[in-house]
Amino acid sequence: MKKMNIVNAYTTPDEWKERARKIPAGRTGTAAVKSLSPIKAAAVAAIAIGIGAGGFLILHTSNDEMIPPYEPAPTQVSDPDARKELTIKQKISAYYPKSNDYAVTKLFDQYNNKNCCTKLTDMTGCPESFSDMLKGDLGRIKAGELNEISAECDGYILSDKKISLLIRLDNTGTSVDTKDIARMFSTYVSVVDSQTGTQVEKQVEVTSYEGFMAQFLRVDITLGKELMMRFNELTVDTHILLTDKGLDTVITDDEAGQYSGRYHYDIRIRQAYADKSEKNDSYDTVSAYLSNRSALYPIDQNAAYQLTGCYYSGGAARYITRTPEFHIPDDSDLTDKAVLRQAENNSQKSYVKSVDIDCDGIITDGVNMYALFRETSVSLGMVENLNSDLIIKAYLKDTGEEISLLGTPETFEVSTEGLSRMIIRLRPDNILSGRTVQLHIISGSGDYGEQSYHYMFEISIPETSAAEEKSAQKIFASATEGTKLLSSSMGMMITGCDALISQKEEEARAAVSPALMYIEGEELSSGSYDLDGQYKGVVSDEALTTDRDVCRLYRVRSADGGTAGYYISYNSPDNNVYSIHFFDEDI
Amino acid sequence: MGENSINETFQSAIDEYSDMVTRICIVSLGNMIDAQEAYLNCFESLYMQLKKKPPDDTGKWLAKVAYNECKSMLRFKLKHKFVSIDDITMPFDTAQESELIQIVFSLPEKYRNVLHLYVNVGYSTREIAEITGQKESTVRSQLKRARERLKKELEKGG
Repeated sequence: MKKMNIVNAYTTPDEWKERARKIPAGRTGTAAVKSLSPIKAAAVAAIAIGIGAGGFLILHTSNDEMIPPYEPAPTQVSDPDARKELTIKQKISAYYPKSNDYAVTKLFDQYNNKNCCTKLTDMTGCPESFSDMLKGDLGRIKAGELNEISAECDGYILSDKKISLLIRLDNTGTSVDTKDIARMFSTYVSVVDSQTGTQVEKQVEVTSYEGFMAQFLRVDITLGKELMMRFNELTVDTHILLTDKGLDTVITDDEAGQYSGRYHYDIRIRQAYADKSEKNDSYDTVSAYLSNRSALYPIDQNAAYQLTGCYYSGGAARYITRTPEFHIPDDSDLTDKAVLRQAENNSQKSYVKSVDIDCDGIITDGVNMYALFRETSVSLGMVENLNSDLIIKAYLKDTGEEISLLGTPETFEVSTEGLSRMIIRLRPDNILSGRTVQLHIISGSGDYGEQSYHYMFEISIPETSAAEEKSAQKIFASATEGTKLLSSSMGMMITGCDALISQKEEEARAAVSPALMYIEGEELSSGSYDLDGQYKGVVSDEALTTDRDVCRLYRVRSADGGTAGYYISYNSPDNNVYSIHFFDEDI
Repeated sequence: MGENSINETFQSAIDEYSDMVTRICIVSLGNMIDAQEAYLNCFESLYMQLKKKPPDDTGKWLAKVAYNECKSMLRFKLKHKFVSIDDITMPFDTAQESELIQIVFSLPEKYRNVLHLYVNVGYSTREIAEITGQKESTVRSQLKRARERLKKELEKGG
């Protein structure tokens, strides 16, 4: 690795040092403007224009008062005891909808009719994608490059008049830069009333934002009429088209026919399956599924619908959120829009009403968790400032153990438009099912202290219910006799794909089995995962080195509810995701 | 700590740690313009910190601030003017050296960061974990992958 020493060839330019040495004489433009009155700020702006964009601006005001820095409050998140003192902004409980046998049966009918299967190739156990890989003559872009982009619908949100899709376009290779993805595609949406076959009037707004290895896309479809009140069934047909107009661009019906090659998502929402849940909690349930051109994929068999918005996710997500409850101290005169803030003198807690962060909801499969947050600001510019140096931490409430967030800078993503939404994805080492997660969002003042605005959200994730187990048994029982039907502990199913299973089995034996070590009944150790409470495994490469970041082990249940085998998905060092199924005889 | 003493400490820190901060910023951000901004922000933060309480280990404190500053800038780079790696002023004379630095920069940001902190700055994995706010096992894993990638790229380049 001596080659890395090449970096040492970089030395600090003298000009930089000179500018740094002047720091005690005054602060930089950005920081100083924050403290100036509007008139002074305007004057400063005028001076800045006079100096020109290339010049480095050192500002001096007549009194040159320094902005009193926020006092750091380092114990707020680093000390478990200190965390107990914090006020909880919102408590969020996940909700597990009742299963709907009828919907499940219908899904399986469709499965069997199509003789298709879900593909268990994603690291989280979700179906690989709800998309087809682009094929055929794609013109400007090489097919090889397109093969390095996969699209996946992380889930969608229904509200009274709006459907929001969360899509990620992953860059799995090296020849396409992530930022290029945003330029390669555009978005097209049509909404059709399934009964009449007529297009429904809609307004589409698309926001894309760049992650480290992915472009995230949020498609907000607003309907003129209330979503579920006026239609028995809607098909929301969304295409990511290969154009060079940019992901944020919404293509019209007329233009759509001009482009070939696309990722395609259908969301079908049926009023016919609506059912009141047992609890009188205003939840209606509807059945929904996602499909693409070649195969049908199940979403939750029976997803809940909630006027204030909730999340659905492809395949794996089985919990959705209740309306968040606000918990504000009784002795406070605050409204639920207030935000806990550490006071500048660090001696007492105070609140500001200029910035607000709310949790819109979560998606969780009991292992991973996505949480969507929305920021609003009363005073202009505050949201941008807030986003400039957010610190996000997550802990398990019972043990205080910190949970890692999905890598940098995918830890959270902020839309470019209004900087008002972000998605935080946790990457836990252990299952979250049955645990309570405390998520802290802290805005530092720029010097990375844990200070300033401090939001804490408590998110309870229920255990997989007995009802779900029972439902799973029914699913197995309903399978066609003689067809291999397997389910991972993530709720994924494979059916009608004996050839694929055999192939995977062969691959498993050839590629993984010789180096596979299996440990049962031992404590978790580095390199092992325990996803279902009973099985632990380690995947090793040929050198018998392990990497706990890269593998997940799932138990595969057989039709009688026993263990048919195991399923591993893992990341290779070259960042490709592989999955291997292996069965009892492999162990 | 008096004003004079703060100034002296601050100026010595610039002399002592400028190159380290510069390299972290360049390795993270991949371009000189953003790196300069991050560098200055780091020393501004240091000055503010010195007025409150001098850090126990100024080098490590600056490394952490530099890492976080760059991370923050990367998160919001859509708001910043993008400068291609090709636009970096290369202080190298030979094509071979230029090619080598391109290979280093072809590593994902998180990998080249930890590799730089480990190989060039000389921090241990535990210290890097503190600086980057990651688990030590994650840092080790990233180091392993970074090495593998770099090795692969170097082999590819002959």
